[in-house]
Amino acid sequence: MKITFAVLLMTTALGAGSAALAAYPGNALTYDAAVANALAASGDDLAVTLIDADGDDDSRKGGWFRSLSGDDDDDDEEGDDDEGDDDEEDDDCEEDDDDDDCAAGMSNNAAKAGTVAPPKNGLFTDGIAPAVKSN
Amino acid sequence: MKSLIAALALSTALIAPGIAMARPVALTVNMAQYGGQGAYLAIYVTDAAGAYAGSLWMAGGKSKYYKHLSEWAQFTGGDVGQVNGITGASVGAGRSLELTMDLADALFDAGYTLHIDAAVEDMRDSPNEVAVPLTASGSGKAVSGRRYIGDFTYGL
Repeated sequence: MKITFAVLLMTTALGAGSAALAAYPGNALTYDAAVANALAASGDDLAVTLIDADGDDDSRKGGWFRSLSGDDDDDDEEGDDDEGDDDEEDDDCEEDDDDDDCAAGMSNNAAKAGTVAPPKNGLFTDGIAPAVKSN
Repeated sequence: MKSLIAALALSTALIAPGIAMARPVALTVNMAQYGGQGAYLAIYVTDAAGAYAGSLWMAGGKSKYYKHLSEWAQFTGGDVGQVNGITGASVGAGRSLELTMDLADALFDAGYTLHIDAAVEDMRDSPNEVAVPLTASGSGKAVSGRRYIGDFTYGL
């Protein structure tokens, strides 16, 4: 009974100590005497700060391995005006896209002649689409 | 029998003005050799007050480029509903576009103006490339474009 009680007391003491160390990471670490004296003379805080406790959010997306395309740099060094290029704004869905992510009907392109009735704008006979010929 | 004839006469009287109110019109756009990709063209009409009356044709299927047809886009806010069912392919340099449509008689000799905005990839936008009054006397007379259109003609 006494032995059991002693073991229980010892494990409790060890566990409490470990918990205290875990709550204040780095507190058990000490500087070399010369460094500690220099810091004390300068009035700086003597507490050691672990990298993990530096307040930075190290779980940020990308971390050190930032995606090359995820930076804020403009990788387009052509310096020209890309408006209207086919490689611009290609995140939308187009009729000629092979992008499987584009659900049917997501395209906002106008309906081609012959697929729906022309608009009733009073300019031409309702319901009759213009005939087109192009060489 | 008399009632049948009367009904026939009445229906004819109702339909005939409708037929007379529209006339077939041919629009022909001959593109210049501008040395670029296919041109987007917005063909639309403004009334005597300069207000947008409606669109007649859109050459070019991708609505994301319609903002480059700047006058048309300004009038319509880029609303694709304005050109649903009257949209076709863009028109290449040196090629021609021929359209035939039944246009309302009221558009002619009433102060309406037909406009064509043009835009080509990686080249300057050209709003009001063509602006021609719709008149009976203007039928068959070629009008030169400013940048991408060689000439434009409408025929009654």
